[in-house]
Amino acid sequence: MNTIWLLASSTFGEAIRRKILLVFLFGGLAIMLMGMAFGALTPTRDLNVTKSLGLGVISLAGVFISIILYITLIPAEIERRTIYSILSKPVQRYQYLTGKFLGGLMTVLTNIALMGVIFLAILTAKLHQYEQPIGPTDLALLKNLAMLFLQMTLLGAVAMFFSVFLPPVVSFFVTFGVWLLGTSGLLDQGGALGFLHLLVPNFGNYAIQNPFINPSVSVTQEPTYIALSVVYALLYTVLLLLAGTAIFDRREV
Amino acid sequence: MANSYPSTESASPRNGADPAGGYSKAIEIKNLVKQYKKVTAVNNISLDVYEGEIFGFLGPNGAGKTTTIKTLLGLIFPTSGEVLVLGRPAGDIDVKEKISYLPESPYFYEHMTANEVVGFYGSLFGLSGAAKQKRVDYLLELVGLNQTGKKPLRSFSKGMLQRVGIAQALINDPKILFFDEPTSGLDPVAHRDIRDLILHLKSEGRTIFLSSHQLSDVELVCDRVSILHGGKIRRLGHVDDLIAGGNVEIVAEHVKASDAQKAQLSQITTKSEQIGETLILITGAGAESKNKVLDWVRSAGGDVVSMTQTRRTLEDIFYEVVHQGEVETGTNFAVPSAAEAMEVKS
Repeated sequence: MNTIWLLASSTFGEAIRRKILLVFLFGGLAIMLMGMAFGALTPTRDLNVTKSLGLGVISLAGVFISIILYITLIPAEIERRTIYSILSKPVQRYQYLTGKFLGGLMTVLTNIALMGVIFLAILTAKLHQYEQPIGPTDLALLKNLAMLFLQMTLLGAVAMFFSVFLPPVVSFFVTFGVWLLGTSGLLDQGGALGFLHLLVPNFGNYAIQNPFINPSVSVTQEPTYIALSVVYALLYTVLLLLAGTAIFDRREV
Repeated sequence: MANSYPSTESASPRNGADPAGGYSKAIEIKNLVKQYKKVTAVNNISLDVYEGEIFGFLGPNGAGKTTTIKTLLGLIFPTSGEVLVLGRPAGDIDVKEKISYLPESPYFYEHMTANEVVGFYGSLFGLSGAAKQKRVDYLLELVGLNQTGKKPLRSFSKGMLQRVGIAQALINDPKILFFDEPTSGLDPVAHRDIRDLILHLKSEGRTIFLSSHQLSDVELVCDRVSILHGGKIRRLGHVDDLIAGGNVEIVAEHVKASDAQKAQLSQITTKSEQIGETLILITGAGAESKNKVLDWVRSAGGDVVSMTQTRRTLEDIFYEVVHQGEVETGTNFAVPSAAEAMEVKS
């Protein structure tokens, strides 16, 4: 466990400084700040636009940060030869892969948290502007961010799985394809695509922003739904990591 | 230096039990083959490395050196053959506790300081607390980085990074060190420091498997070497044995040779040159060759002024091996002569 933690923390330290991820982070923050300019709308619509835009931007930046981070974590270490000095030490390959995954997760969490804090600040400023108090539906933002984080955990596991045997560019497109398929709702329609239910994670499970944006909408049996979603994400992630380790164990670096 | 180790006269591997001297094998490579699709990177090589020796692993780029080292570390897997390190299969987790690797031009996490990086690798070996810090401090001092240990690596020169690499490679007090081009791209001072450090490590009884293009260094520090070309071992033996044999240069004066005697000269020397009264004769280092030339000088009424044995260098052997390999494989990577180059340009 200590080895996994060491690898995770070193991965986080390295990944958090990567310029490409900062571009998405600051790009996302900039779009959210620009969203403050929609002052000409009615208060209700303005608040809805702010909430939709904020969550949308965090979600999209999160997707790109997760995919780009995870598809490059291992190839970058191979290219720079860092992996040689680590795997020649008493480190098992599953420890290496799990450490890298958790380090990546810490990076994604930090990015989502940073964007979330800024979003919350913007939302509070807007509510203050319209002299509205912060209500329970507004605090549901935290729930949305937690679900988004679970979604990114799953997406990261998919990206890392592909990155252990595919080149980064191919991994990017394959992961992005899986992401599109898993969010499109096609999986729920059954038919010819029904069998994909068994392979492609249903990322749509985690999109519960409607109650936050439209307080009249509610999720039935929300605690159960969230608990099942957590279990689904964890199970899928563990399975993908196990499959990735089985491939990585045989991979030549 | 080399005489302390069992002699290997030919390219044949030494198989079987420990030699009479009681040296045990640190590394055993038996009929190793590594194939990448249609390319055979390593073609049936066998060799043993004994505990406490510095073994030079030489060859031009693409000869199969790094592939072999990676196989020894368990980073890649043999297509066929067997690779044992300290008597156990390469890649075994217990073996990894006792070995270390310095890759060519290593990269370490730049946000860390030298102190943190070496500590990080120490933690991978289970070191912690004061014991880890003591070891880190000792190693940073050993490689001359005790003053800069708290600076981030992004501010380090290539030579300093190489020193960090050596420090991390020593963190576990390893029995076997794999060095891949440890002096590549270093300035002369750093180069000499690392060469001296390798000798220091040998004096501590460690086994060092050294891959390097710096042939003068290899000649100076290694006990035995193997030279690879095209994935095959072309030479294997003690450095002293490989470079032995050279030529003898005999300088004579007042030689008054008849035409018949002059005609004999080309048969008993490899080269002769007359400079005024002085005649310089080059012949093989064997006693018979030498005596024939000395007898010739006396019979021609000359006086022998000096006789000097010239040594071959490892570089001579290396070029010889590469040339033979190129002839055998039908490849030729030789640099064109100036005249050839001008011809191509025109």
